[in-house]
Amino acid sequence: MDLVWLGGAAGGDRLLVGGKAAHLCRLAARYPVPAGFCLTTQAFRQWRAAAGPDDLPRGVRTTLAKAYRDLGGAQGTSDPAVAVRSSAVDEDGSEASFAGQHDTFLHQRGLAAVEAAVLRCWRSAASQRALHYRRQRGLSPEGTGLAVLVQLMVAADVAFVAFSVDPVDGRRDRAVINANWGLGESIVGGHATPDTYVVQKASLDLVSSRIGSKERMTVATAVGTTEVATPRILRERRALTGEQVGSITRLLLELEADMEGPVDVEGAIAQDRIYLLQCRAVTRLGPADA
Amino acid sequence: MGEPGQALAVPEDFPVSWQHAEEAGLFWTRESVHFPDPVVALFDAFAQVHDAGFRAAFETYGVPVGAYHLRRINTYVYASAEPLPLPGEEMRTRTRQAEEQLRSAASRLMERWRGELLPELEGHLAYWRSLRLGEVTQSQLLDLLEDTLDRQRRLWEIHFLVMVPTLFAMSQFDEFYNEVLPGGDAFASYRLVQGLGNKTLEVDRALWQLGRMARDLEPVRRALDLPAREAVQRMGDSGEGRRFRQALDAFLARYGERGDHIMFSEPSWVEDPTTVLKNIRDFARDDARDPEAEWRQLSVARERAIAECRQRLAAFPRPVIDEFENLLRCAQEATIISEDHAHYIDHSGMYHLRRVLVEVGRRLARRGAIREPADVFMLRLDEIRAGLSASDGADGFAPAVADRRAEMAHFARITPPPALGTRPGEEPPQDALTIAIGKFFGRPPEDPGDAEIVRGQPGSPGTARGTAKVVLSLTEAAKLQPGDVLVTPTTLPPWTALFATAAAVVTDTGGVLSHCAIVAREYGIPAVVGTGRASSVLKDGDTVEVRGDQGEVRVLARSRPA
Repeated sequence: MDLVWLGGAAGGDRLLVGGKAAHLCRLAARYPVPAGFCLTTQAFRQWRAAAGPDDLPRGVRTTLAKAYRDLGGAQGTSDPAVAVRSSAVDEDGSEASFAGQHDTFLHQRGLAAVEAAVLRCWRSAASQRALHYRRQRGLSPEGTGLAVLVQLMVAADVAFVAFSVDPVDGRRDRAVINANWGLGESIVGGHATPDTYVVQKASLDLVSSRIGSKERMTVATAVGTTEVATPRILRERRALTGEQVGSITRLLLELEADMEGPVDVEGAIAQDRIYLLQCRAVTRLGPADA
Repeated sequence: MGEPGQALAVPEDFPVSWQHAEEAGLFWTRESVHFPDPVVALFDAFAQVHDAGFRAAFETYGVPVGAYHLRRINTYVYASAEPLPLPGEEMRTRTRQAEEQLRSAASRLMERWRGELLPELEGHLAYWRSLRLGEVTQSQLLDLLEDTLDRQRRLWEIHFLVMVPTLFAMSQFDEFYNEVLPGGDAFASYRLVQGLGNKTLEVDRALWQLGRMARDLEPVRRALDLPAREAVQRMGDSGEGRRFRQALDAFLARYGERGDHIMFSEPSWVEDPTTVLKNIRDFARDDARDPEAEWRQLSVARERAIAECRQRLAAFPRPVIDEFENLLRCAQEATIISEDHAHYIDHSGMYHLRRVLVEVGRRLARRGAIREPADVFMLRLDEIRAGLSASDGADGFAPAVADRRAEMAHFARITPPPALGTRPGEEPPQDALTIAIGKFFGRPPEDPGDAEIVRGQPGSPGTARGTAKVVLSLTEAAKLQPGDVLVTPTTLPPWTALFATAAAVVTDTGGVLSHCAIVAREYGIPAVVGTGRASSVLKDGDTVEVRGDQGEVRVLARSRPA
């Protein structure tokens, strides 16, 4: 099986779709995760077995083209913007966080761009650097393979990163939300000081909100993304309404209950709808938990 | 220029005696955008009305500035804003709150202007037009004067209620535009708000139509070469001339309350149509540019620029796009209102104040208190009140009037210093409103240039060469020939029909949002504003190159060796 849809029956098979995708697939059944599919570890192995590293195996290529077209069909377009991410079998487990080790290509548009992004994910997993990293952590150098996740891009008005515990002092009764305009890379990459909202989890009361300087924001370009300066009026304005802070906190609480432990979440708001992009168990906690 | 916190040196030929000791501690700058020339003694009464209107409007928006004063000092108008002694943090908070208020006022301004403020203004104007001033008693006239001053106060309150959010909106849009769409030239944002039409252009268009009519009527063309009064008389000699005069009278009935100046002591076009006839003569030439066609092109260019911006912003977060659309709409509406309000308040309102004062002058002259009605402008308001209250005999204002006329003549020959009083201890804060007001009044160029290059600020794009004509007042406008470069201390809305035939315009005062710059962009001619000195450095007949984008004027050849 070269391709699996998010939310589909085989989506939970970690050996087939990697840790990240398997996890998202489970979440997709219950939460607003953007639609997408996964090129499986089997597709990766076919590519590695084939001679040319610059081409997709013929069968995989046909499957990818159809899936990409179908993904756009639901949106009424033949070339939807998508995010292409690697999803490794032994990545993103709750015991070891490999975040950032593998690749993400945002806002890819058109089949050619998607194919190129898939190839880059595969090549990167097979690179010397990746092999060295795996060896250092005592993992098998071959690995059990890499899957590639292709998901509809959310045209985010606001992006947020939220924690179901206070990541600074470890307090478990509080949730903390960071938010900025545009796509989430400016927050994750630390290129802008986001707004910070602290919420009392039991009452959903806002404990404090600090308007961050939000110097820059990530916006989509024709293919890919770029960072631009944020206009002053929006720098001074809060990115989330009180209502949105409440909705995000409720989502956090549900995820925390589901995952039976503290979580951190990446999400986006587009056209007033909240999307869940990523959810991880928090692997390290601050002093209150120690 | 003096160190911060220090009293400025007073030139020997400009001795200042302050009425109150505190006044010497304020920082006074010349208000030469609206008042380039010496003003009459009665100006102080107007200044009070104006300042009260300013105060009321700024209070409405919670803008944290102290009292604002216009003051006649040695016959020239100076302005000063009292600093508000607030701790820094509170100042910042209140400034932010005021900006919020202004933003929300700007977004509802056109609705409020059309639905509420303009009807109120028209009500005041209708009241004045209904007065039969010649038929009231002297004591009724005094009541009418007091009533007129009360209404004037409200007019100037409306003026600032409208103008503050207007300048704010235009400036905010410019700032936002350059933040999200960097890399454009100095005028990039203003191209999105041009070609929308306004009262100033409506008047210019009516003049253009009269010009076209005159072109086709031989007797009218010939009459237009005569001085205004004779020209109008001569038109009565032929059927074609009479037909044209009907059209001219209709124009004056509609727009004649405008005048060359914004000053109650100066006649309006109804009283002296010289400027109107000069504009018509220029528009009657075969090579006159058709402003209608140019405005159509401008609005096509505007829509194209807007579409391009929308495309560039398409992938931006929706709050950015929403704010762009909101600020664009506010700036477009503000651009219209920034010209329209002047028609009703600065011109018509001022004309009706003049009418009441002229009638007061007639009564005082009839009683021998002054020699001629126009002497009334040389009196103070308390003298006028006393004069109208007295029932008999000559009260002998004539000596005072003579002194004050002599004073005006004396100071007209003297160049007033740009600032008086005490330079502020610290630089004023550069908040969004201060920046917006700065774009209207302009600021002195950082590098004034040398004798052959005059620097100012970009007012309207493009480069043009032509013969400089220094026009200190519209009475000198006749020397401006089509293709010349208009060089002047300041331009007010009634000057702008000259822009249709001038190659470029250069001013001493004003910024990128001044009337001059806005209308020059509408006419598509280059403008350099706020040079501080072009009208004294450049001479009639100099060949100059005006570079609007760079904000500089180069002298290519002097009319005679310097």
